Amino acid sequence: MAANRRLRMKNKQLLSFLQEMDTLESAGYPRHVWDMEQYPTPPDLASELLISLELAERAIEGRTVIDLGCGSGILGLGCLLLGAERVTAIDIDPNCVKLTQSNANDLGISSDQLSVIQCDIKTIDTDKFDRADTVIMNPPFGTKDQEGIDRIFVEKGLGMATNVYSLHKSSTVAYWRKAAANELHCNIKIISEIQFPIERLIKYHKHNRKDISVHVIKFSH
Amino acid sequence: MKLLTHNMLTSHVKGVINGYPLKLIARKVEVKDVQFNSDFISRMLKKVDWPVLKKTADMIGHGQSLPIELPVDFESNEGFLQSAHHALMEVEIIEGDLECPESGRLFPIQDGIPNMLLRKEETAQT
Repeated sequence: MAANRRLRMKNKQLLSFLQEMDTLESAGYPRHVWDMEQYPTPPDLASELLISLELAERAIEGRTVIDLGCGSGILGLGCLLLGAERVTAIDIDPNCVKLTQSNANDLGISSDQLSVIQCDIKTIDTDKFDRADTVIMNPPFGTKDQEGIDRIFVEKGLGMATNVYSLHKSSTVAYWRKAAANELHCNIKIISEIQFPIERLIKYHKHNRKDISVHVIKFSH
Repeated sequence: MKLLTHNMLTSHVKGVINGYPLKLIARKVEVKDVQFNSDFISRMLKKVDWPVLKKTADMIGHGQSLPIELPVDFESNEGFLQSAHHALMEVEIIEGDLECPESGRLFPIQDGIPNMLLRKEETAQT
């Protein structure tokens, strides 16, 4: 229980740090919704997700973590704030890697704890990477111009770490169960279900903001 | 970019069969004090391609204290682990290029971040 309380305390602190972080918008960078599905993880959601993964899974403190498709770096840097040993943050977007690095600098995160790499996840040679303990990621949903990209993120994640925690649309859970059993040959576990806000930037959407149901799924070897 | 990261990166330019290791051309290098963690370094050394690290560190003038081969007793050899720590963690490439050994394609390193991104026509997959 003491550990539990300590983490609740940390939740407030973590949230206040994550809320201070720059986003693509606040840093003045464009957000690629259609080709990269850049839907940022909001600070409150990120904070709760990380705390719950630490609480239930011991996935963060003292662990080596990879954040695939890091965006502003909110998940990866959040892990460092929670005591992760080392984080590798990877994104295809030049502005995202710059943003992650500058957010890290602002948070006073020392450079020995963080590696930022700009590359296309598809081209990562996972054999060369040191096997991390944890991948935490909010990958593109793979529903727009890049069908199947979510699957590539999960496969690469499994190639790089023992446990992969990943956000996916709830409507795809049945697909993932089947894929895990038949093709990915990994274990799958539903961690939680959350409501994820999607801002509608495109004019023909009726509402400016819509929550969609998202599952936190754990894939593991 | 640390040499630890360099050790993991591969070129995937279309048609390239062996895009590893990338040749490091360093234009701006900084050395930073990083706290030594012998467990971490010995864990990493199990994964690191030692000859590649040695050669790359030599090329940028930080490999003098590194042996040609990974010592058999590396996990308990504190002096060696310190040297490996320096090369892997303390040498930071701020500006430079990574050159694909086969195609010669240059991947820039800017502000310490390597950019491995390929143009569409350079990628093998669609």
